[in-house]
Amino acid sequence: MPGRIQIFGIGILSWVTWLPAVGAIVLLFFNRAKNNSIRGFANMWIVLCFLVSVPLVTGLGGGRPGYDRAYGGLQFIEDHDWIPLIGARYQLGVDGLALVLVMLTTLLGVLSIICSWAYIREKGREKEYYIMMLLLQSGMLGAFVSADLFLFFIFWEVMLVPMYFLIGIWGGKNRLYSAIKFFLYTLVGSVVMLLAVLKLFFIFPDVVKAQRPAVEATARQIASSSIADPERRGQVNEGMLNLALDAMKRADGIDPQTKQPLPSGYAHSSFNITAMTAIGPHIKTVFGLGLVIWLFIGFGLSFAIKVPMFPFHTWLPDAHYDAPTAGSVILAGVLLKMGTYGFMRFSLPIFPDAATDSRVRTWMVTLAIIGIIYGALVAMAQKDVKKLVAYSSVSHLGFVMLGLFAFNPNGINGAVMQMINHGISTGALFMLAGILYERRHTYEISEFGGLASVMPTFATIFLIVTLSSLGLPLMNNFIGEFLTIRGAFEARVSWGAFAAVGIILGAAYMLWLYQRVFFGQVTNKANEGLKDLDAREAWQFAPLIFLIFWIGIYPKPLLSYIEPQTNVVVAQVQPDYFKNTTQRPQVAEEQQK
Amino acid sequence: MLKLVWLIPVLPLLGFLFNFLLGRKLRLSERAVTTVACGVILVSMLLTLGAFYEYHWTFNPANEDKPYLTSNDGFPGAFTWLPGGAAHNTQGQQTGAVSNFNIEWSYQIDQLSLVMMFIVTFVGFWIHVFATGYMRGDKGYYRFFAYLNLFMFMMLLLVMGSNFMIMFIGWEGVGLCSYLLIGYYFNKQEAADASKKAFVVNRIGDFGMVLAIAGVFATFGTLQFHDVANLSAAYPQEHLWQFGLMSWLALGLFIGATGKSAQIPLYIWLPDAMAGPTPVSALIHAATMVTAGVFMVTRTNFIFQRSVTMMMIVALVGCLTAFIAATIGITQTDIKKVLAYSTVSQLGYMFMGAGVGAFVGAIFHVFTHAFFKALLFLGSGSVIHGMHHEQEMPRMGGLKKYLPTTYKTMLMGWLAICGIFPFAGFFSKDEILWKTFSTRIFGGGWILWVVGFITAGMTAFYMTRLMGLTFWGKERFRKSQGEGHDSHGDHHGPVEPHESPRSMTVPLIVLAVGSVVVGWLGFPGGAKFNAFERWLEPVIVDVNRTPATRFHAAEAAPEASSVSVPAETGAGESTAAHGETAHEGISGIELLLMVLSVAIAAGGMYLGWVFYVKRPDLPKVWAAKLRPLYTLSFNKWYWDYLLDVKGVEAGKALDNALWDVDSQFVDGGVNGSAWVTRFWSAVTGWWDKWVIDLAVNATGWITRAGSFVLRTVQTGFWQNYVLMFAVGLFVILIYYVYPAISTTIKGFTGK
Repeated sequence: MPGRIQIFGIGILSWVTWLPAVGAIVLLFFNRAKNNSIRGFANMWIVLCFLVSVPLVTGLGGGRPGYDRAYGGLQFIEDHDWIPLIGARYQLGVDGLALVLVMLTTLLGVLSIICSWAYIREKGREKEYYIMMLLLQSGMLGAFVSADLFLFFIFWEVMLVPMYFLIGIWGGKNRLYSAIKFFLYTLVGSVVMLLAVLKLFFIFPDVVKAQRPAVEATARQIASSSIADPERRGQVNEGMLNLALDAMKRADGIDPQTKQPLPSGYAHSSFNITAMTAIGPHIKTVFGLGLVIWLFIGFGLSFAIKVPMFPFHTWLPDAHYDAPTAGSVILAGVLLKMGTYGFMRFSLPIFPDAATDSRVRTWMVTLAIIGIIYGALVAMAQKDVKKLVAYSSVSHLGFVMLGLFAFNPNGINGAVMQMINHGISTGALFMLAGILYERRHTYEISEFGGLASVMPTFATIFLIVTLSSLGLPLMNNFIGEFLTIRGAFEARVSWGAFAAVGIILGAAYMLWLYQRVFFGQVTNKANEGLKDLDAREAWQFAPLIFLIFWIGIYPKPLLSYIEPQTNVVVAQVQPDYFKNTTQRPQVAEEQQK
Repeated sequence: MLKLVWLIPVLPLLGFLFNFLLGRKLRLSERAVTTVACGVILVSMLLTLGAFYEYHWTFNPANEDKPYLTSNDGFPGAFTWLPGGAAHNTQGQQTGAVSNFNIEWSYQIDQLSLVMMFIVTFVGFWIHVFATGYMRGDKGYYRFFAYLNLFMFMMLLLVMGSNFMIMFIGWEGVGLCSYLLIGYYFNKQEAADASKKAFVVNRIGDFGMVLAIAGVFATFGTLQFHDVANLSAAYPQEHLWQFGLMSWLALGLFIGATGKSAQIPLYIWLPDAMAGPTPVSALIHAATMVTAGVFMVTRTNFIFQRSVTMMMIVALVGCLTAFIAATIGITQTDIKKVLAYSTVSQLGYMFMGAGVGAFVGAIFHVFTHAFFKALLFLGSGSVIHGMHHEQEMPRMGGLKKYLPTTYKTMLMGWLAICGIFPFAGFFSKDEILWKTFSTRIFGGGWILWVVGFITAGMTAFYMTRLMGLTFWGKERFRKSQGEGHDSHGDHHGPVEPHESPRSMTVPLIVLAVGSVVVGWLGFPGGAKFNAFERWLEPVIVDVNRTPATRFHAAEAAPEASSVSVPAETGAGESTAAHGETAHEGISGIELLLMVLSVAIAAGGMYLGWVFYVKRPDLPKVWAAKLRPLYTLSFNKWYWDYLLDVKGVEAGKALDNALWDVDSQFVDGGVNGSAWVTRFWSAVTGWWDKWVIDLAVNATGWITRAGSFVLRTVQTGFWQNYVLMFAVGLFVILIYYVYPAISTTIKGFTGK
């Protein structure tokens, strides 16, 4: 039973996506001087946005179920006409992967707005700030829930703008440089991606016409391989399949609703992502491998910049350094995930022939491994907290890329776990760094020392997050790292070995940071009177710490959301991986008990 | 009781949560903290004893599916922890098989884990009790006990886990607690450094461990010890100098063991770890955590035994560590440092035993060592406590008068570690030495034995030195007051040593009794006398018997241990098949070796007594005579310096170099491209301004100039137009008419 919830006749995904934007519009009408009511409204509204996203998991009662893990695939599908002339449609839907990321986004949205309570009061321009934060939220959520490539691209571009302003207006001393660097760098990638998107759009009808039965079979396979429940094996996710089949009908020039030919001037093609995925393995037979690789590069470059993979990572430390705390939290927690999400959602399944091409794969894995080790080593050389954490992100995201390109369930599961865990741990680390900044107005590590005696609660929370970040078992990051290493090991032993080096270095730079900030005597006079966390500051970490332990101690529920989409990707890039598997998706079996 | 074993680790966890979460908030009194912290350990200990009893007398593995709790037993006993989806086996004979990466949270209760659980809970409990006295009045009292309880939880997970992953969780967890407790006095730079060093060095070991675990899964498709043991039986033995898959797996695991159990080359963290409070040193860095490596090697003996090469490496590393650590221990002056090096050395013995196939002996030494080394550490803690936090032995001496109970108990520990009959250390150390001498796994066991033998002498020497400098001889603490202040820094009043409170002496007495009696369990002379060996026999896989499985062995176990008649034959057979020592009773050589090792221990003790009690001037003389050796030993063979100073420097240099590369080169590329763009935009801007725009402007200018002309013409006055008209007419007339006129004129002139 696929999840399907409507509130006042509007699909829940639309609610989740647009509610923050509505809040931003409402904020426009607030009196600029009434900062308290602006702040109150924004904090309330973002909590409301989070609450609206909760039914995605829990359901709403009364025949409005939440996401069905055993069913998998896209659910909560919405499909409306949008720009028929170019074949773009307003199609929303989430699979397990997107759902988890949506939840992460809404949660981090709440935390980032709460944690900027004091900071923004000091910085000023609160109204604009909250408007930007809410718009950013809409942009990110939209990108995750889009089932239409064109819609995705719009959201992908839209979320750049608020981030640009967040860094550029409320950022640190080098903010303009960082903001422009961030914006332009990402934009370069986007432009290339746009070309690839368009090319894909134009070849879509040709591939469908040339390989009709094969494409339909692939679509069917995609729609069924996400069904995790063994009792329903062989069934298909109807909603998902219909989206793809409709897209193919449009490619033939037939309106799927009316069964009539499309009006003249309407594009005979589609941007539907499932349909694109269905033609993916067949592009090579029609247009040759060269085009597939170019398209892969077109998408891949854009995502690689966003991830960021070595050597496209240098915008990240600057952007983090100058972004306000909330910006960093969102940047690390969600925006970077856009890149890896893109790989998982587009690059791998749509262009399996390119991804599995040995040259491409070797390059990607090599860059990922360089990222893991290089990022960690450079992190160790950093002199301020935020840049250190930023470089640790490069290292952690290297793990994600390595796991994705292991092309096996463990690797990809681990990669997705790592995406989420990185969002949680690094988000928390940036919030902690923000607290240091609010107290001392500096991120320099050498300014601190001995804080454990002055701020015990802060030190404890920081320690928990540090340990989580360096991958201690029973905490979240361990699951991701271990699964990734396991997957990489399965793909090639040496990859696993290189990745494992990362866990040594991870411990080294994080513990060294912790020691320099918290241990020893308080040597700096300015640190002597620092006050420990107040209630708001302490409690804002509660959800993150809960997640850190929950994922670490009982990762099964989270994995059961991720696994179906993992299987789709693996089936796409390595079609015979599951051939001799007798008892494949055992998550569902566990559920039945 | 066996159904309740899951409570054994959970109780300390609850104790941790209680003290950690509420300790500061509720300002719990020391009594409340203590009651909870020690209470949960006490209950765990009782449960362990119950489980022990039931396992031994009423539990029959033949009637059970598996000798451990599985997820079928349901939460909270066990559950599926990490279901990771399909995975291909890529290594070994199982290549191509697909299995689910499914990790159970489950416990394995067998002879080995019961022994370890007993050590952990029993010794752990008494150390907890000791700590209540030792830590009295400390600011972070609740925090200390919370961490201790957390450690107990992790350590119990480590020894009870039924698969590599649960063991690894405990493995990392105890590392964390070690980190937290070494760095307990985090204000001290030394402690902060030591804690980080311990964690990072252990992480280096974990690198091997993680890969080995991934390798085990990629080979066997499962991580359960039980299943891996069964599957590994199908693998051929890898002979000496052969380095196949099993050797690699064993190597990875052993790298982990060298980290945790402080073996060469990763032992450097353990002596530094003495910066932690003394009960921590006793519990974590002597009795339990550091022996985890030995436990792990024994637990996975089915892998190690497949590779003769790795067995030899284990034995060699152990032997070398035992020797080197003993040489360093001779010259150290900090009482805890001496004990730390002694621990490293004893751990070396254990690995030597494991390497020559005497896994039982190794665990036996873990067992006895836990008692006497915990005792020695606690005794030293009592001394330090009595001396107001003085740790330098040169500033002690003659303390037996002031700390009589501590002295008497320490005496037991001293005799035990020196290996004097009938104290505990004698039996375990001797078993290892004998097995080393008589090993048939690889040749040349006698060389290892010689090194081990000499080390035994050195052990006796430096331990006597420790006793001599601390308890015997002249009282040096009074006159060295002034010096003490110079180097020590923190002020303490006139030192008047005092005996510790009962909470500290009772654990000492208990452990002292243990140090005497526990050795009797492993009386030499084969299975007939050696209850310990009989008990652990089923855990050790016999590689020469196919299909040797731990499980089958376990079936035979209770009969062997509980029924007297078949015991002898059953155990005797397997011992014989082991290919190490086929013997009933004590052979002549074994007896000879025993006498020899007692002799060298006695010799070492005598020498120590001469050097440090009878003629205290001798050490200086000999140190001068053996200057190079002395410096080498005093500076810990420079390994610490090489790794910790030079290695870290090199690492930092690399980091900084890479950071330069990143900021100059990689980022330079980005900024460079921005610069190029801006340069070109400047060029095009110039071009635009001075060429294109000039052309445009020129067009405009020309137009304007033209229009100026035209404007001046277009005046709007009709007279002007008429004039223009007339002028135009005239011009046209001239133009057309002139040729005609000129022709006419030509005609007239006739030219």
